[in-house]
Amino acid sequence: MKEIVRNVITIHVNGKTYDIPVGPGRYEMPESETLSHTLRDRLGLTGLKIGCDQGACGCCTVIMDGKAVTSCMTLTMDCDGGRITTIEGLADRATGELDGLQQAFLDNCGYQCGFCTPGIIMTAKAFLEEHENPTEEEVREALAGNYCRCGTHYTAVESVMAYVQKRKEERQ
Amino acid sequence: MSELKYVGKETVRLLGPDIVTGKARYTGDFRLPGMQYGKILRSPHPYAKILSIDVSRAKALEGVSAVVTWQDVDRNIYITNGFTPPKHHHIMDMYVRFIGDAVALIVAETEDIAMEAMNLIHVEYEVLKPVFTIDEAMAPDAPQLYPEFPGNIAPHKNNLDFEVGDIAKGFEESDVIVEIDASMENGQNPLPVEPPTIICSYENDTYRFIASAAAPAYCHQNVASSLNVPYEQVRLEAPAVGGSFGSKLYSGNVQCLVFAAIMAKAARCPVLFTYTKEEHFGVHQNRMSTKAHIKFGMKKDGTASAVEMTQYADAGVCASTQEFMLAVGTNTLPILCKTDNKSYHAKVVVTNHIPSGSFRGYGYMESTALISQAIFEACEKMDIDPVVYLEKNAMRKGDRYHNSMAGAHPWQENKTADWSNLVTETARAFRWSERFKGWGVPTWVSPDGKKARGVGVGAAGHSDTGGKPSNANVTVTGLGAVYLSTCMSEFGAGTRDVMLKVVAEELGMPLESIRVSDADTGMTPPDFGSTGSRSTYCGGIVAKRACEDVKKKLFELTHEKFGVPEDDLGFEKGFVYRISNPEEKYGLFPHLMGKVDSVTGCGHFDGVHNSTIFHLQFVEVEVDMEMGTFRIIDHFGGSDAGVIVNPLPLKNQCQSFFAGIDIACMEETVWDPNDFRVLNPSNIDYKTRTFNDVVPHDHIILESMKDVENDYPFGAVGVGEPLLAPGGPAIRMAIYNACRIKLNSYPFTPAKVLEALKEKEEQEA
Repeated sequence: MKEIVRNVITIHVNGKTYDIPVGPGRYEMPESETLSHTLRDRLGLTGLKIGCDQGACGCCTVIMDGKAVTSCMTLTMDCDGGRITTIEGLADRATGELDGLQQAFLDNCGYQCGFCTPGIIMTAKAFLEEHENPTEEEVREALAGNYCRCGTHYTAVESVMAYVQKRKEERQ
Repeated sequence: MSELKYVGKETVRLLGPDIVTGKARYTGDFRLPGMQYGKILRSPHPYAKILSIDVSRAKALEGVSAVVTWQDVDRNIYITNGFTPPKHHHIMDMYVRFIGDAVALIVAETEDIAMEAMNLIHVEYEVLKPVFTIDEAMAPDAPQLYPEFPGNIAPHKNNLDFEVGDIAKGFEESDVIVEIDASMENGQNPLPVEPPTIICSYENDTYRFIASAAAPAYCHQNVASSLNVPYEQVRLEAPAVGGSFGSKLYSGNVQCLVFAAIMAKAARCPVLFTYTKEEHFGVHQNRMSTKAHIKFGMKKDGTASAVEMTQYADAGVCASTQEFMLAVGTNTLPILCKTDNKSYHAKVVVTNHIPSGSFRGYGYMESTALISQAIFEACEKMDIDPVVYLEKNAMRKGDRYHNSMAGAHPWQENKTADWSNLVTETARAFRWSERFKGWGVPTWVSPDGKKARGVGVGAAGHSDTGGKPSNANVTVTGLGAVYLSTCMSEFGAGTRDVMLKVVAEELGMPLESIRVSDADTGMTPPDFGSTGSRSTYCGGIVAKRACEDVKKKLFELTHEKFGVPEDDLGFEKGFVYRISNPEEKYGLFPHLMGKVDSVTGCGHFDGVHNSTIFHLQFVEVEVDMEMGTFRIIDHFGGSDAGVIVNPLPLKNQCQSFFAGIDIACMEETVWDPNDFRVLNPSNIDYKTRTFNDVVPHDHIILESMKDVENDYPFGAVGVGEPLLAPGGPAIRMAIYNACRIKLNSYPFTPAKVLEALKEKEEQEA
């Protein structure tokens, strides 16, 4: 009779719970694995992108415990018990209805090639959870870590501001 | 013209819902069954001979499927487009010719295993003396890179040597003649956020790619030529592309695809090969270094009278697309200088560093930066307002001009737009005449005299938007579904939406009934692709022609079946109807065909040489003369879209100018002078524009084809490509007008600004 001793970490992603075995084995997660690879390669959540893998482009941004984090700079080992939302988790899980922020990006064409867009939306989402009524300047500052080469800086910020305005109207 | 239903109306872009939900699939998101990962062991030397390689330990590592060295690779595999320059660059060779050149390819079950295997490879090199610059490469006793390129010069087939008009007479008639040496050496990186990423599998004698490629068929052709296989042995599908800016045209540097192909064949499984950001910076491609000697003559009214230009381009380690870039760059001569008296000579030089290659503003951004310096000098000497110069020299509609790329018929007549009028309108919107106070005169100086503002203008364009073939097919089924078949890929501009709307408009069918094919070269007819702002025009025109062909075939069918004369037939909303009696209708099914049946129309466009494009930008900068810094306090662009197809995506394109202004503000590849390795290969060390540093911007977009007879699809022309080219020259002029310093080396860093200010002070003292 064999006994197996397993190290397991648990992460909660988009409302689901995943137990991930850790170790050097072929089907285990190495301790050095970053959250971006865990989410993309193990959980199939390819919405986050790996642009630079250096923590400098923001494409891999997800929200963990309310904060925007660059998942390429985060070891999955440090996420045990973490509650993570990826771009796939923003829309209503039952109906598929888009989050208001996603809808604003669609309506204002706040994207071009779209590779950086999931990261921008997630960064903005985390920021807007903590800032009810930010100025355009504050939004730009919040997005300063998100690299966009298409030059969508203007319409992305317009999209965020349109959402801020709409949210304000809805809450009044 | 009747009211347009779809062209010019705002709709959500095809890829939009997938982008905002994270469902859009880019190459790196695909996971094929059995897929493994490729990595490359790279040369630490700029020039060396490989004496021996021992890969036995790497091959033995568990999880490694293949290790490939130059000895394993067919000697007929070169990086080549099959045309020009002569084949020289083996994909792998016993010589490594730059830091980053491939020494061994490794395929393994995971990237980590591949990296581990890399450490087990032992290589012995004999280090050779390298050359890094154009001057070093052309020195009489310079080390030679390739036996095919004596003197390190890549022989070209493009027209890079021409003389037209009467140069001597042109200079005789000039009221001012200036001669300058100018260069551009900051090696800007196109730097799309998605690095080049390729998946290749080799099956049934076919290399099948999923690739982040911006011009799939063009890339396909270059890959087939490089692999030395027939065209049909390659198939390439481009899913969503995470930006290109020229770097994913693969018009020359197809190395990453060829590496992936060799890996897939050797490992006998699909291979994902993606560049790390360090590789993206260090080995892929960047903007060519180039230098020129220019002699420029102008009349006192501000009309150019003669121009002579000798230019050199640094290809880096692989000569490929650079001569085509120089050729497109010669278009700057007619775009900015209204004279028939021109001579041009150029050479492409190879050196031991990262290859240069295509970058938005393909060759003409470079020539614009160089020639604008000569125009600046002449205008300043004659006290000609630069806007007056541009108004006089920009082409009007129907103007005859010399297009060196037009083969046997270089004299063409501009058929696109009145670009002089665009200059006038944009200058008016910027209020140039109020704001320009004269050469070297600031628009504002701070009370303490430490800060000064100045305005500047730059303009650029080319004549290459229509010069290549396009093809598309449109199929209409019995139940009224419409299929557009095109390999035009999508990397941000909304090109596929343009084609979609053109089909809807031409067929009178709702957008929802139309499906656009994947950009798969195995399923669609070849198309030169979305390059040089040609896709709106050429893609639009073939989509329209394919629809016209469908209608022609439907009318023939109606005539055969019901005897109605073909010239009395129209088509709308899925019905053929009689023009003389619109109530008389014939449905696709059951009147003309079965339910599971279709008619397909083909659209072909051969290309033209007289379709020009032009764009200009105004800036106002504020220079801090104590700190040597400057900031852009106003930026204004002017474009002419002919007729707008996609309003918001077009607005995005017109705001995509950062990499243009930032060639002057901050962007540079920093080379180690000792070995020309890239010292800033990261998104942190290579500076780009961030969200909190955007500049105040506005623009105008003219629609000069509206209600005007034209050859364009519903009047639409491309706009986006030239957005980078005018920024640098405009900023250079604005800084001069602010504080009378001429900066000749991009980017204009504080150290350079302060040095120039000091030099000016010393001269004035």
